[in-house]
Amino acid sequence: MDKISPELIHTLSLLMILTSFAAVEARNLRHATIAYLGQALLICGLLVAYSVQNSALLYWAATALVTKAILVPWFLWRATAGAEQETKPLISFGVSAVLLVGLLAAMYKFTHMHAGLFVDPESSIAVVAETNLAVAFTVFVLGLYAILTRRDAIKTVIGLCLLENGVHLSLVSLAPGIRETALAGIATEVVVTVYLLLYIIGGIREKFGSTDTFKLSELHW
Amino acid sequence: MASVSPEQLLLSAFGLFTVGALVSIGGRSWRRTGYTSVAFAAAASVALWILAAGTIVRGETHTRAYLGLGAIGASLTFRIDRLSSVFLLVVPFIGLAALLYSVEYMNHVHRNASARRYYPFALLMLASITGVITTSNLLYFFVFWELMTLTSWALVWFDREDETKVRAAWQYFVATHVAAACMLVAILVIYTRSGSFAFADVSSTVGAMLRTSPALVHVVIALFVIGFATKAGMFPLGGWLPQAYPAAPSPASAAFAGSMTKLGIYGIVRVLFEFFRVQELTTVWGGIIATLGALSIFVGTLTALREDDAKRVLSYHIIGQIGYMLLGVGTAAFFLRSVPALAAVALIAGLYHVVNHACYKSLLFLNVGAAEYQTGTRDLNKMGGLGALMPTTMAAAIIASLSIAGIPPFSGFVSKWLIYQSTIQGGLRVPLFLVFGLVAMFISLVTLASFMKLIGAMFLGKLSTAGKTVTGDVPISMRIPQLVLSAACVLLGVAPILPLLLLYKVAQDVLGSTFVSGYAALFGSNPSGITLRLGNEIVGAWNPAYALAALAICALLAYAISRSAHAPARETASWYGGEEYADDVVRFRAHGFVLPFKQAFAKVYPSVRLPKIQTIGFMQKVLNLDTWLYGPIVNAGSRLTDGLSRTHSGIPHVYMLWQVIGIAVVFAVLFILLK
Amino acid sequence: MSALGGASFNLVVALLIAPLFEGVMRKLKAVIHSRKGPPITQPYLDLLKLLGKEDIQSGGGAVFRMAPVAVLGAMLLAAMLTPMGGKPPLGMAGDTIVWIYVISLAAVMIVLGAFASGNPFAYEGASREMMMVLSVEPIVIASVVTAGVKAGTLSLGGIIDWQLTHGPTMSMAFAGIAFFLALQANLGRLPFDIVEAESEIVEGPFIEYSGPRLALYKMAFYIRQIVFSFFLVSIFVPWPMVKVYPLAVLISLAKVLVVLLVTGLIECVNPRLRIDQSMNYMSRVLFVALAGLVFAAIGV
Repeated sequence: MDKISPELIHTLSLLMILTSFAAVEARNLRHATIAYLGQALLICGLLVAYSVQNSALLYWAATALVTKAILVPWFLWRATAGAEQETKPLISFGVSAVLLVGLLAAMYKFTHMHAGLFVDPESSIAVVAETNLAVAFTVFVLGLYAILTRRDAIKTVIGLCLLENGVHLSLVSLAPGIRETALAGIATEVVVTVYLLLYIIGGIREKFGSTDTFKLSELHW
Repeated sequence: MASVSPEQLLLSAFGLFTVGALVSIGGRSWRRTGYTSVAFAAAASVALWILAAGTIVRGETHTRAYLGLGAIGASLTFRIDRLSSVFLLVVPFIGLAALLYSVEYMNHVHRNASARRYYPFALLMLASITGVITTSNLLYFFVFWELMTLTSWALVWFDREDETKVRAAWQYFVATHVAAACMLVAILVIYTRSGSFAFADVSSTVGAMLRTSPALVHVVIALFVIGFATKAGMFPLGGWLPQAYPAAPSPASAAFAGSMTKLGIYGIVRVLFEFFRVQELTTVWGGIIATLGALSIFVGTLTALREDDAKRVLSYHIIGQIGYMLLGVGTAAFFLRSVPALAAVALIAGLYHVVNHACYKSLLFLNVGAAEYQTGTRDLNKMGGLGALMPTTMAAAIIASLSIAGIPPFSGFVSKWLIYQSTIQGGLRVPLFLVFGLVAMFISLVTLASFMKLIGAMFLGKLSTAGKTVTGDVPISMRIPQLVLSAACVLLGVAPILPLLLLYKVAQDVLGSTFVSGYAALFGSNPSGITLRLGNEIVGAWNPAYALAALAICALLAYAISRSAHAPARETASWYGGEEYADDVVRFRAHGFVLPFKQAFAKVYPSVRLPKIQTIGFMQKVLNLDTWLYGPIVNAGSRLTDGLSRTHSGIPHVYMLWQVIGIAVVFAVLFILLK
Repeated sequence: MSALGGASFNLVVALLIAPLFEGVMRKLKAVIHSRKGPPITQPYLDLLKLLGKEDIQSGGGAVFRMAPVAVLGAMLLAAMLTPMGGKPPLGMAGDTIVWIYVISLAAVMIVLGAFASGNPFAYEGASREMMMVLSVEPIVIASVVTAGVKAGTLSLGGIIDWQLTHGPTMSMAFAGIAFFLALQANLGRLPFDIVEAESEIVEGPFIEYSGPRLALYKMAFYIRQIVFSFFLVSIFVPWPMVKVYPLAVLISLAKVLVVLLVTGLIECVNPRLRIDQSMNYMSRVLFVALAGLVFAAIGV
């Protein structure tokens, strides 16, 4: 425990929030993908940092590297070929940014306050765990925000990946010491889901010529 | 030879209907699916007929309990008694005829629709009707009733493209479910008092309820009567009938008219004579039902006269004829304790009318369907002169029309005669029934007028433009059911002793053998006719064989007179006053038939010229349930469903938003609870 | 008096005596019109002539050809059921209803035959015939039911017996008056000859019929006259009744003649009514009949 440097973990976590913000807000889908890539690398870094106390996490880190940092960005890169600009969402950039910042702050504060529900304040990993939990929850909410308010289908996928990241982060910060964490982490990789979703989105693009989800209401029985 | 138990026959009938329905789900060709369904239905009908015949001879059968729901005291028991067996004879007969007819009809008229939307529902409807008339447990009665309503609704809703038909189906759904809800409430009230759903326990519960809360008993009977009378189409609850029955395909309408409306009568007979068989109750409710029956006769038939759509005419006549059946049943209930012999005659008259009506009303729907098949229209003003091209259909239609008008020697006359006798004999003791008898006789003439209009507009006269495309009569598989049904109409009229013996046994069952003296004492021992006796005096006699023979002799005499001078015959064109006109220009439209009479009654019957006009107007509004009850319910339901359907916009974000909100709400609740 | 003998007698009266009465009425009309008029046997000559004339058909099929036969057949059956100077020969319990229905059967066949001829005049006539039936039959039914209620039986013989033993009563008087007021329409005479209105719809339902078939219709018309008249006098005015059968028949025939002469008189001094006027009139007569029924119900 003492081997993990709390400052390192703090920095990595906050960087995660930044990358999530970028991934959600970037109008250019490829830029969003790059932001996501950054976040994936951060997660792997976090996992490596935690693996100091639990070597099983190294396996997870390796898998995460492959799936989150290589496969998913590659799929997204392929899917956004030729259609890089996102379909304009309902909420414009400025408003959305302000909203997001407010949401982030609120979420962070809220989780920090109630982190006592999940983490035993006496344990040694308490401080780190609280921060990580707050970050995880924030990333989760950001992912949800992306899914709910972004009109482009690819952004939905990115939002899904953000959700997954948030869940993984919370998992690893709550129980870094047990072997099953790694197992759970590896099992809940959403790469297959992402592949399938992108396949469907390809079909949508074929039919409608764009990935605008509002067009989906034209599909009838 | 191993004998098959009644239980096995009943279960095999259910099985055959269900298997037939499942098989026809996979059907793609109308003809093949149709004939397989007919085969399954025929096998099931044979089983039911054997079952009915056995029950008539041997008496009632109870079966064991299936699907027991011990927790609420309900189990699926069947009881086939003689009353059920009458219906078990009639319903498969009509259903089979309608199914055979629908093979070619649906193939031609609805060739663009899918067979699997029709035959499975038709077979399941027949199965559920069988269930309704054989079960002896209130809960399962309701289950079968609902099943019957839903399957028939699917048939009414068959033609989904037409906006009016969809509205009619919606109205049918609402009306029958309001009725079913009333019935359910009544069943539940009985259940809470008795703790059991079995038919056999109801009368003792009622006895107990009468002592503690007699008003509640009347409410329960009222709810049952509302439920059954809506299904039967009694005035004022039958407003849905002229909308819904024409919307269904003609063979389906025939099946409805022949079997489903009768179940309302079946229900009322069970309610009056089995469940609530206490002196005050049967007298009061018999009077109420007889009065409402007379009203139905009057209003239903007079409204029918004003219609020009063939199927709407027939539907309004259903309301009228149901009135006759209810008049018979009501008179029977009213006089149950005072003059039991009269009650027996009235009950037999009502049930005979049920059997007759099933035959001729379904036959009429099939005839109209045949005309629709050939000309593509149901409007009486556009048809004409089809008789030369469709002789079989015309002959069947004439037989059916004369039967429904009650002209001897056809079947309608016997049952109407018995109804007149019972109401007039009852009227000698209670003068109100005289009025009912008069109304019944007068409306018999109005029925005659209405059907003369129908026959004349459809089959007689010069060929109309719509009829110019007709090449011949309908296919043989559509003519056979018509012929069989007309043979039934003739047979039931010419040899009334067979149905009377059967119905006499039913009356014995229903009323209890201590009440009914003996067949010969009531109807005489002449095998070819009826000699009606009440007490010791003969009150009426009718011998169709003699009458028919006498009529034949007179007709032969007339014919001999006409041929006595061997006058030559010659064909010419019709004489139009010396002018030359195209046939279709001078063709008399059905709308004009008895037009002054229609206009006269339009003034009279909605606002009877008696001092209390205001009350009548208000009553008219109250009784027109469509405007203030069903209409608003239907509109509110439409608005609600429209509003709800906007939540399903097809955009994924909306759905996800709903999910998130839902989860947030759940978490909030949990949070608050755990705090 | 055996049933068969009585029935044959009725048939003979219907076929042979009915045209004679028609001839007498024609003579009466001529006298009122200050004309000489045709001989009393003219209807016989008319019928014989028609029987031999060419039967011109204009399509219409089996219904067209069979309708006149059925109409005359029904009228003959009604004649056999009608009391002519005593009990009806084919009488049975409850035969009033049968009698009413056989008369309606004749009306039905007229309407069907008219439809089958396919002529618009015939349709109009059929429509009017149906409306006459609808407005007049309730009066007949009400009168008959009144008689039934008083006598406690629906058999014509029973009603006649009751009338003979009990003498005239208020309710029977009302019923009889109503029946008489409706008689004019039942006989199809002015002012109620709307069905055949010669100057309007050229004989109405019978327009396309000629030769022997027209003869059948005419014969049915004549028989209808005396059947209704016999019904009126036997049920509502059966007095005086004598035991000797032939004398009773003669007295009945005399009464029928009086009735027919009265109707002939009414015919000569009245114009034709429109169908709606006639329905109005009949509804008022119906009130008279219903008044009789109410009196019967309260026992007067």
